[in-house]
Amino acid sequence: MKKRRFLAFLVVLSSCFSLASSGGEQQVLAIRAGKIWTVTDGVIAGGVIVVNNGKIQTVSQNAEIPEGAKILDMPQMNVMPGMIDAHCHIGLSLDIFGEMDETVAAVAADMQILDAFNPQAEDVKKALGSGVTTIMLAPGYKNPVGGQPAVVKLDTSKADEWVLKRTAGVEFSLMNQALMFDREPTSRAGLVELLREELNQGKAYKAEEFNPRRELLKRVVDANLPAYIWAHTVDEIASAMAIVDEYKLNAVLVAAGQGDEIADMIAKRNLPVIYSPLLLSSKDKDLKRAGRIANSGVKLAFASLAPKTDLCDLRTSAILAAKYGLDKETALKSLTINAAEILGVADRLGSISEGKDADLVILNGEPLQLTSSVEMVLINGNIVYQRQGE
Amino acid sequence: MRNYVILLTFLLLVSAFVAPGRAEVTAVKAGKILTISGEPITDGVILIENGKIVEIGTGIEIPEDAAVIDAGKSVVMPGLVDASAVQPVRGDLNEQSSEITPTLRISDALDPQSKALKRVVQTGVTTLFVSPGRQNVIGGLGVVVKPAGKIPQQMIVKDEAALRIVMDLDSTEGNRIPWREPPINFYYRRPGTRMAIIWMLRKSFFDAQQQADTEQIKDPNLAVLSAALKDEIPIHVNARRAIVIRAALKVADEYGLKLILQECTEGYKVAGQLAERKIPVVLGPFYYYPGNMGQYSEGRKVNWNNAGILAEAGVKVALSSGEQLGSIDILTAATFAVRHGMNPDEALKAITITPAEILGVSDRVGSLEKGKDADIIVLSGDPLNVTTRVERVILNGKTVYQQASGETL
Repeated sequence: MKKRRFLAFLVVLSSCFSLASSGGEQQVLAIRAGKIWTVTDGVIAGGVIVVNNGKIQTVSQNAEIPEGAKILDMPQMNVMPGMIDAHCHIGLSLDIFGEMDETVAAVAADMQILDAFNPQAEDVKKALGSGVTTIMLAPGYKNPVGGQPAVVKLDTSKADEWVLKRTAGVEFSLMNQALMFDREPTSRAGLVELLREELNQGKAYKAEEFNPRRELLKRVVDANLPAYIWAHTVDEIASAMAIVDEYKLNAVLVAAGQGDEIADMIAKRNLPVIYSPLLLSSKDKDLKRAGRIANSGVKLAFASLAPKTDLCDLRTSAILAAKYGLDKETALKSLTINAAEILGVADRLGSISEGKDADLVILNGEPLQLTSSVEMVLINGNIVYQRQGE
Repeated sequence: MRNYVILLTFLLLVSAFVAPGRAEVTAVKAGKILTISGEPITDGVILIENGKIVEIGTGIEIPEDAAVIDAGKSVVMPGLVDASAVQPVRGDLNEQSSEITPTLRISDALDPQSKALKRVVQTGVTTLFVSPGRQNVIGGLGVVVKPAGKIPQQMIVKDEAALRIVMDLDSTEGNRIPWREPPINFYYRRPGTRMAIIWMLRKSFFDAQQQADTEQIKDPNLAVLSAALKDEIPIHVNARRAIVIRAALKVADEYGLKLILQECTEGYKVAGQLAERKIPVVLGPFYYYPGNMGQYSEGRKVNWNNAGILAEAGVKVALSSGEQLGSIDILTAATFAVRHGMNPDEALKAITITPAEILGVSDRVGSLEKGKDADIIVLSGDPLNVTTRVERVILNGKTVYQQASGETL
């Protein structure tokens, strides 16, 4: 095993290694931190989080620490819930094959992106290091129907528990990038027409005809399965809204770059938005858009789209949005509870509250500060990342 | 329960104060109002409420709280109707993966932020007919839109307004013949010739006719064609040369189709036939691009006398921009048509009420009448003078362009 140098300020008990690797045993862990950002219940200064068997048992200012508990005493540190990246493509060895888009045919509804996921990939470790503990692993936007995204935790040590949702929905794309020169569709009108035809087929599906693709679309039309719809510009979002209205889909907008132009209409339809990453190099005009969308009453979460946008991590998007008009509380929520709600995992993730999974990020400053860095990441109470010395 | 009563009373009170609160009234005063539907009005007033014309004429009392647009001595006329306008669509105008795409709706692809729309407004056009492109024999369904609104649904005046058929050689564009190379994708397909264009058209309608008797038509493409056969959807046929027009008339006779002809540059050669069958024509574009466009420039040579001869023969003529932007706008086209023999009144109708009638939206646009949409343009002078310019465009009662600011608001 690689030799680890522990940071000087941590009072680390000798059993830390066994804690990290043993997992399943009945272990109690107490984290005493300077500030606990619970997200749903405000900030607790100088509080204690007691973790029992991978779940948060109590969180409060003066919780009793059970006997025999391992204690992480970090009075300088900030604790926040593990961040949730609402859309990304890590672990897919994109640089070699471009494994997120099966573009040979326009409709790839029955493909599962999780089949292509490599948990040991370098960019997965990078995401963990940036404080992301749960991701929505998504197919890309180059197919009108791209496949099934999955919701996974990034601690893959236990074989069966890290996949929260193998089929979290169906990915649709109304972006111009879904048009191809040599396969259907080649035009925007053709793209919408094709989606309509697919959904009509799903609507007409009967259980006796065995056709997994149509069965899946049937679940989407019945609003049992969310539709994640890529749409960036105003006309693309308008097309998405038209389809959503027509079929009464349970839908989520992905990217939605220019969504602020028609934010009121998005809000009226209760469509959540998974916003594309804000980059340090973006123009001021574009950096203001995320804030405007959220201020219109739209539920907002951020996507890193990693590793396509390698320059920034997920937290940077929220920080930039907060700098350009998004209020800080919503910015923090967009990284955690909002994303959990959109992905349908809010019963387990997204805040530091009793009974939820102990997915925690420990930072050496406030979460919405560019200068603060991630010191330690826990998933299910296990330490899965620790910052190495400089 | 009591709470409900209080709430209800409160709501009633509020609504009593709010509901009858007058909608905003706008008054347009002008030296000359060309109503198109009737005689011109001198020193008239148009009252607008809720985007509709509520009063038009002379000696109308302007309410005190009305916003007044005083056009002075300028000429006011209805917003122009372009029956074959530039498509505000990003990317391809046709679905290239198939030649017969009747179900395709161009309304699905409208981009309200398109810069083309802003420029179209500046030429005085307030109603556009947008149709799929020219590269498919049956391209799909067009839509009548106004250049207002943030999403396509707000722009639409009439969806599925017409089915687009292209009988010119444009529809062979992009199709390849598997010669020397094996057919590797969908571009290797019919039609490659005029013969095949007409064959495909005839076959499509034949298939639709066969299915029309069965109760439920399963193929959505045939369902649209069948609706066109029953005159539920108008058919716009692109046909420039006389030979193509005659072929179109023949197919129409075989299947009992009602046609509207587009472009029709050699229409004057068959003016009598068109008048006899009461087939309206939408002329345009009015420019000859001398570049090397090969077979697709066939029949593109502009004959300015065309409009006058067709109108004289009794054909309903509309002048359009021919899906072009930045060549000749339709107001200018009308002036040129008059110069080459068209009656001035006819020419003005050809850019307002006639295209509105052809598109089936004359109940809302095309003339200044009580109850119609308040789409009004203010011109610096006589509309049929080339030096006249568009000073202001009012769309649904709201000013969307003012010449002074030089920009669409």
